[in-house]
Amino acid sequence: MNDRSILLVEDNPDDEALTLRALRVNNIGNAVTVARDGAEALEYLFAAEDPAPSPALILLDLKLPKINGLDVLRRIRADQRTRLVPVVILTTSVEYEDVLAGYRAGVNAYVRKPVEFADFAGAVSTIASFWLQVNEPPADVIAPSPASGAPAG
Amino acid sequence: VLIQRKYEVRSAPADLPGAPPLAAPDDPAGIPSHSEWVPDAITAAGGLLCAAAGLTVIVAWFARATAILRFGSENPMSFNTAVAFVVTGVALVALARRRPRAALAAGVFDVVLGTAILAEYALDRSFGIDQLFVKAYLSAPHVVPGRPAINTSVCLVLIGAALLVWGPWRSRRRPAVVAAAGSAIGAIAVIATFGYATGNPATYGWWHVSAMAFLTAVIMLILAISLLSAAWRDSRAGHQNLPRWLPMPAGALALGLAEWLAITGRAVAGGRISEATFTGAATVLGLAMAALVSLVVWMAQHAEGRRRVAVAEAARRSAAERVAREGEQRLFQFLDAMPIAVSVTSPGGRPYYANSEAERMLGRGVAPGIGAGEPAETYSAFRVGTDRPYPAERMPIVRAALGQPSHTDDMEIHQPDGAVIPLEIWGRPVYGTGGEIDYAIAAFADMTERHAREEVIAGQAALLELAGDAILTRDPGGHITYWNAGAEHIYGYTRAEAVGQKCHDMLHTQFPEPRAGIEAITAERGRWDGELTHRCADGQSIIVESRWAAQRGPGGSLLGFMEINRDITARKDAEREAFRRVDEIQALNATLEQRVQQRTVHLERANKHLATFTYSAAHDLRTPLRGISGFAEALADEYGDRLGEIGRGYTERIQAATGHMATVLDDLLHLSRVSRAEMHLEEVDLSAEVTAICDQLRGHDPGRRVQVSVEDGIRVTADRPLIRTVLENLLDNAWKFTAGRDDTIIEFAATPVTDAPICCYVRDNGAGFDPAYSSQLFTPFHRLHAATEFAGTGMGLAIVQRIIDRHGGRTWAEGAIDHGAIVYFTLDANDTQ
Repeated sequence: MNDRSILLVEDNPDDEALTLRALRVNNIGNAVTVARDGAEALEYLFAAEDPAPSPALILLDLKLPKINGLDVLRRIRADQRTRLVPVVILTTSVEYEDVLAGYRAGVNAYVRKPVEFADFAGAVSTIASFWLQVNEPPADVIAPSPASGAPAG
Repeated sequence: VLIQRKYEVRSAPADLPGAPPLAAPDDPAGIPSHSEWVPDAITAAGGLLCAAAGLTVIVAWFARATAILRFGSENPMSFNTAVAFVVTGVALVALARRRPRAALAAGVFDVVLGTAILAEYALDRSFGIDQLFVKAYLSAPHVVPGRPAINTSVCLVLIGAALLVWGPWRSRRRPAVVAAAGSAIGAIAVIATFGYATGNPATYGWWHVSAMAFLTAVIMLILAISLLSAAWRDSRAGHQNLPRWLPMPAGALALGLAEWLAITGRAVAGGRISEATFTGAATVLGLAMAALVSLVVWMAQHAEGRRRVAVAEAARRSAAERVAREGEQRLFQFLDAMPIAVSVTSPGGRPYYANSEAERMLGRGVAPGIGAGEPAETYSAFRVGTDRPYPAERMPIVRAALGQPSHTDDMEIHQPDGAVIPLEIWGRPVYGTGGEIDYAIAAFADMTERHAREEVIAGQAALLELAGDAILTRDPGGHITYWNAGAEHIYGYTRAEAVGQKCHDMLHTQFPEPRAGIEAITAERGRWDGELTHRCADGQSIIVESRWAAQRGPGGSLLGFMEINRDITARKDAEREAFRRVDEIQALNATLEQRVQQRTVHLERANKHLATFTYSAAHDLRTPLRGISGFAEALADEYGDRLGEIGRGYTERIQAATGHMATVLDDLLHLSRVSRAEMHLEEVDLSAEVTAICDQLRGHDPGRRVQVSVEDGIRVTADRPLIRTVLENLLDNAWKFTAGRDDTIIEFAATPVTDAPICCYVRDNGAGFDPAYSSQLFTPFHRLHAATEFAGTGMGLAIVQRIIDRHGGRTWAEGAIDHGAIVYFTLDANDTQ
């Protein structure tokens, strides 16, 4: 498992806590940066004075204050530095239009948040292990270490 | 002459009018009638004797036959006298033979000779004519040798004059002139003759210069007779009565007789009276006698003329009266032959004549004495329909007698036998030549038949009056001639107001096309139908259904038009009202449709909103639910030791409840999605879909033995994903509610219905349901089975119904507990949303 951070863009504190817990119970130790709205996420990614290194995975909610998730996604894909970063939309909406728009904007995966925590934790574990361990990132991304364990759930 | 002329004038009318005019009395070329033959013969004989004597004397003069020359007296006839006799005799014969020119020539000779001789005597000188042809070897005392006597010369002049009038002087006085000459010659000759007979030389030898020879006197007498005879014939050629010159020869004869008496008387007187005295007295006496005889003859003649005039006048009158009577008789015959009654009265009202038709009608003839009383009584004349006598001053016959022409048709005659005859009477005065009223004439006709006809017509007219429609007739000029009660009622004009008016001016008619065109069509085809607008007396406009018909006379001439007009204003108003309502309804319908469309749009929008809201709500509810579920799990996981058994049980219940609620929310989202999804219609093979779904179900539950019966070839037009959802839900239910049965049968088939092109059903033989609650089956979240018996949220049939709704169909279910269920749905692809 690579050690690069995960950017979690989530405005709901409950979901934020549950997501972090799901990562924790599934033993995913990557650092998690939380942005509570779209503006904050873009600030984190493209801060002029001190840009953070590109995250290994961005978990993006769609319904966000200030700048919504799809716009954030488009900015990420539009920027040379972040255009290849894996972005997984993790949201409650399974509106067909949202799904379509997400893929058009270049999202890598679209996952609906299950209600029951067991399911939710399973989904988060699967996403993290896939993108951080199973999936082979592009060349300019540091090669991940071989999968250290089966995804949860 | 005056009397004669009068007589002629008076007698002229006795001739029948138109008779040919009389032959000219003086026409010498006329063929002699029997009455002219005798005087002609006398004249000719006298002429012959005269010429023969003259010729004899001439011969004697040449032959010196003194015995012949001195025949009867010592005085010989002169040679010139003999020549004149020959000439005159020939002229008389020629005259009798209708050769008047010879008479003219002889007349000129005689007058010239006589006048010349008289001139010789008067001037006492010789013109050398006395012995022109022969020497007068014989000479009597006091005689100029060879010269004829004075009286002879006078006679020659008279003879010449008588012959000359036969020339150009063709007047009716000719016979009188000829007779006068003849009478004078006769008188001279008679005197001379009696003088010879009695030995009185003064009578033949005037003034003792020369004496008329005895033979000359005799010849002169013959000549006088010849001339009188010619005058007689000339007079008789004109008329029958005696010649008016008759007194002249009578006077001459009387003169001769007086001479004879005087001569006789002188012998008796013997010398007691002087010869001169005696001669003067005898002359006066003779002239007086001649005048007296002439007067007597004239008077007798005049009396005869008057008698003839009277007789002729009487004859003329009787003839005129006869003609008048015949004319009147003929006129009466004409009048009798006439089919119309004619009566004539005198100006005083006395009946004068009635023709047979009048007698028949009045019931009596023209009785003498009638007319003394009132005319109404005389004729039994009454006012029509009453017993009141007809007023005399209004009777046409009475008015005609006063010079007033008149006409009535309100009189009737009550005949003696009780018959009543209505009459139409015309009265006219008849004027005489002086302008006075001679007669009053009345012509009258029996109107019984006409009244009968009029009654029939009136009966027919009364039928017209019963008609509710307006019936009117008008002449070609447009003036109303008939106006029935219906017209009075419809238009408000009374008959008296309407008749005579210009019809379409009075009614302010509005024609659908020019009136002249309509009239031309009516005249040509006999009728016309159409609608007209009229204005009534009260100013209101009405619409009439008008039918026109052309009225034609016996010869096909256009008498006018009849119009039958029906007031259809109310009907028209009703039609208009109906049309207005239809328009209103159409407008309402149009707006209704628009409103329905608007409502539908609103409803759809509301549905969409509701669906969106449902979606948002379900979506938003998931987030806290996830929190509840997550933190309950975290609680149990991290603090399970402290919660204890019961506490962990609670967290499990929380987990279960949130799980259920998540399912509900998913169903809601599903329902919302099928409500909002865009529909794309295409042909879908339902049988194939059903088979595929059942295969899937078998795959999920391979342990069950289920008999699936699918009717082949059920194809519909629908949105494939949605209709598939329907089938999935229905088959899922069937699968679910037949769980636990060994002989599960699921059937999919179509069945005909009336209200949709296709109706399908899914039947199972599962748990069924209580039909009392069948209406609640399709209510969202409504369940007829306990959640412990069959899983589910109760949303499946609600989704089915929503989708079928959107396809324009309907759903219903039949079933009974433990006897399975049938769920039907219809599809109407034409009415989809």
